[in-house]
Amino acid sequence: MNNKETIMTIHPMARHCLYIHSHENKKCDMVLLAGDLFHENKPSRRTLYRTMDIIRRYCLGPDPVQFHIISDQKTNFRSTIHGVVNFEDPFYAVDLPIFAIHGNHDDPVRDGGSDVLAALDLLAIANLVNYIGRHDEVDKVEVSPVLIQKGSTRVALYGMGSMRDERLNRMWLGKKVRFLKPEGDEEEDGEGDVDDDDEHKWFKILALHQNRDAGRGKKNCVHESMIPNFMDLVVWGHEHECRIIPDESAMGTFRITQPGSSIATSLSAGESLNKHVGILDVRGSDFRMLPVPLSQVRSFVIRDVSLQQQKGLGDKLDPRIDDKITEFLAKEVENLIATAREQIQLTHRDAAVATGIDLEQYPHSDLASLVSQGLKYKLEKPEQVLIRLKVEHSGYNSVNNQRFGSRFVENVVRSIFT
Amino acid sequence: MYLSTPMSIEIDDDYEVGEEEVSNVSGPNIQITEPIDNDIDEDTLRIMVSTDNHLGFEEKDPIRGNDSFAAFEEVLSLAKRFKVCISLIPFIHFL
Repeated sequence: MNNKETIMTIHPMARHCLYIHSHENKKCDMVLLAGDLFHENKPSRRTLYRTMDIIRRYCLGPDPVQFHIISDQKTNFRSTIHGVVNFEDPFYAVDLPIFAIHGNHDDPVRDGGSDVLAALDLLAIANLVNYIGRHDEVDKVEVSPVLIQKGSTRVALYGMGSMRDERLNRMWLGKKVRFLKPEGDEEEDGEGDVDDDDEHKWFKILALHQNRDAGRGKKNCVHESMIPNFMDLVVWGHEHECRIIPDESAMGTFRITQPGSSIATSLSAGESLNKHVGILDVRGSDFRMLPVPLSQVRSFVIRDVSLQQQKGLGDKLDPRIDDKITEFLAKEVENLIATAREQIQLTHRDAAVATGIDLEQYPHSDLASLVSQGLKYKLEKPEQVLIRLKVEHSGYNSVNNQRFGSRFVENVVRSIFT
Repeated sequence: MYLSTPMSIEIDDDYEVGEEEVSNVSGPNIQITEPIDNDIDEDTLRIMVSTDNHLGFEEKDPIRGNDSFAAFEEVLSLAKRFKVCISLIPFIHFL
């Protein structure tokens, strides 16, 4: 191993997480996307164009793919012409295959006539992604895994595209949701004997895109108890908060990773956390996950303040109280902007370290341009940040949102006062 | 040697993976296998895991219009050019 340097990261698995940089290329064998690749059900022409541009540049290439699909591909990949995985199409050279399920934003709909199509079908027919997990039957779901073999490692990938939680719950209760098991899989349903022989064991990954946890009403989410215990790892899409380090399931014996979104689509607390993707290695029946911070994410911070707790504001009946409030809030906003900008630096530094950029070589370089090197699409004006200041103003007059916001137009993309 | 800045995962107080996770790792029902030297061997399947990329989000915004595409391109570029070997992160084995 040709180590350049050793870098330690502090995080919950700190003692296990050492980045060692080497010159070798450690590219991923494949990409797994757990839904909502597109924000709109009918993405605009521009969005489709840019998406195809990006996938073309990164996923087509001369290198051979190092694994095989040994399941019935016609069942797995229905929307391709030949019914084969994209890297086996003789007329294409794919070296980074993407496997994707649809989310609630980009689910299949009837688009005139009788064809039911999702935006992902367009990418699939162009051999840019392998669209899995589409189940068209109304009253039952039968999830047939994509069986992947690399050397002695065998992975069964179950894809289950988003559907309305109520419908899924109904089917689940009626035992209409079935997960087919690979032929020759030794493990029995439920308890059963655990097969220690790696040769015959499948590592089972379930990708789904549904509401998680309770709090949304009992029938409005997927409960962990509904997921079969023979799964090893669940990749949970739809929830935007990044909880990528696999959690042990509260109910079952499997683990759950929730990568979270790569962009904040709402100004909620969960979205203000740093965004990561995960590098998942599976070897035999073992796995490990390395979180990698994303740098191309607009910095976003959120803070709550209560005017009543601010002693400095003085008497409520003061005729100049409105000006005082405005001044106070302006200061808070300035602080938030400063925090968000500091966060950019930290995120960029993390991203640089994780991707093996030797910071010592570039002591004076602009981190932002270092981490976005080689990217065609970059964050425009990353110094324009997202902030949200929630003001509890009971007892005081509220501030005119628009007039107040206009003071910061140069610095912030958006701020919300509630 | 660098000590990188903490990732958000441990900054977040609500997310209690910290202690718990570490204790789970050495818990009774799993076992950590020895780190191996040959990092990504012919028996290791490496998967980039990402979700909810929301391509096209706020695409008409003059400043934020690029955001979703920039992040997605970064994801794929990491998948393609990932140069970090993580051999010291042990595999987790289910017993």
